[in-house]
Amino acid sequence: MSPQSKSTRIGAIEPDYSAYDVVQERERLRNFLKENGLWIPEAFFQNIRTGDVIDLYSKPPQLSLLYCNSEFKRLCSYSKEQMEKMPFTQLFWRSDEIQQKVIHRMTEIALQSSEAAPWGIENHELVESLHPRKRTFEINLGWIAPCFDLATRERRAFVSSLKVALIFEWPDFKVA
Amino acid sequence: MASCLTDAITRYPFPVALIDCKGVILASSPSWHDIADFDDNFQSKLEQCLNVGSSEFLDNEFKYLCQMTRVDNDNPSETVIWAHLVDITTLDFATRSREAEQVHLKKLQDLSEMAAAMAHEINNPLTVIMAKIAHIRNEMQIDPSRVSAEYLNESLAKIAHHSERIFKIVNGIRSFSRDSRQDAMSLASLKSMIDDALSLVNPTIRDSGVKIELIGFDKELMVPCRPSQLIQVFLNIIKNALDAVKPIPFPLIHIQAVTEGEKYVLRFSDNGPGVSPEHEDKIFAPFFTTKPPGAGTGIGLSVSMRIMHDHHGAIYYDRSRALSCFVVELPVQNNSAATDRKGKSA
Repeated sequence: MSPQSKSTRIGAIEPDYSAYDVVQERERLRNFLKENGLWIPEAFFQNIRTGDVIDLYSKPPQLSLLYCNSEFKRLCSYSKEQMEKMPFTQLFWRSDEIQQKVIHRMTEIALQSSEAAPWGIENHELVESLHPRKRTFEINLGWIAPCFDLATRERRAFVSSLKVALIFEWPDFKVA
Repeated sequence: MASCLTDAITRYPFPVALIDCKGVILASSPSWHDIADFDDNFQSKLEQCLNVGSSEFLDNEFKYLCQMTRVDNDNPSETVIWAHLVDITTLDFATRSREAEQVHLKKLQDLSEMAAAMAHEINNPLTVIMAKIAHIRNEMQIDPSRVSAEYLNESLAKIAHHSERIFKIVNGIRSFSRDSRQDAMSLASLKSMIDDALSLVNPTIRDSGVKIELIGFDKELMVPCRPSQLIQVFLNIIKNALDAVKPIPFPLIHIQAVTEGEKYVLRFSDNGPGVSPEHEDKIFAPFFTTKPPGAGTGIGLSVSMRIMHDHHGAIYYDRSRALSCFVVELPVQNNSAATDRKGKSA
């Protein structure tokens, strides 16, 4: 968030989204879903914004990463293996109040809703908990949607969009 | 009887005696005379010993255990009884010391398990504080007018919020980690102790999305206790509840405090699957656990029961409730003690 106002710009430095192609991002996500026999509501695709990180996690309580776009890979310092093996909550930290809201909304959408919907949660900080320099991002949550098995219609996962900007990391010494 | 044996017994530093089959003391140590004070029970126990080979009984003041052993002789009329007294007040003290040691060891074990998580719980919000400070400082260096009052207020509120959070966590660790084995009872706030216990499992509460509801807690509700030990009891119950509700979509832990006559009753309820009837009578036994190997030592509830016993309270599982419910009962504070000890709370 800008020091001046609650604008859509997040982080200390305006991120460079010139290489981001929304149409391509939609297509990549569709391909992944098709290859894996999955389905998500169309409204989610329509609300992908330029610069959005897109990630797909198995439904709670597992929360393992199943898919992420290149924007996510560009920003996140964890490896694909770490993201797949470890639950999100061990890798990242948010304040108690935000985390409660996020988990409640995620559970509600992933396990109960059939529609895509805005996250509806204020901008906040997210810390890479296991990173030695505790890289800290400002998060602007976008949309969330349930993800179903195309054949069985069972709930399998949920997909989320968010804007992310690196705002801080400790100097080069280990803090935890 | 050889005179050297008689001589040895009369010089023996502990309370012992040699008694004939009619109950006549043939030889005894000096301390035997100082201590031995038995009623009619002595004669019946003597007969029991002669018949079955051994017997034991307590003295009139319940301080000493008299243990008697029959010493057979080729001539049955010369059968004697060896008797010695054991100071059970010392034994009781030793047992209690051992129990206190176990309570302390369990606490150290809990602390070591929580240490890494607690480090993150402090360092992560500290990082957010630093992020806010660094951002404001950078902007101020470029141009102070870039930092609006609104942004400054928001940032300061966040810094204060995270600082308070760290303060609470450190307080929780400090209250819990205190070695209370030698502590006298003092008055402490039930609410503060519950808050301290909750702060120690905050990562699990937050990351599992568990909703915690506290009902009936008044900051003025004070109980005579060893605070770090009660925090340990609350922590054990809450940790078990968290393990039970973690796999549930909308997990809930509900902690209610009520006064019922002469006792405070705390009910820890959760919407987990509860304790199965076949496990109910075993859950307070040491080393009993239903958790997978490595996930639980099975001593949390047995240690909690010992602590509650020391506090003249109780802990039990209440099957009659709709939700899975553990109950902790504590005696209501003595008014005079409360007045005397005010200000010593946790």
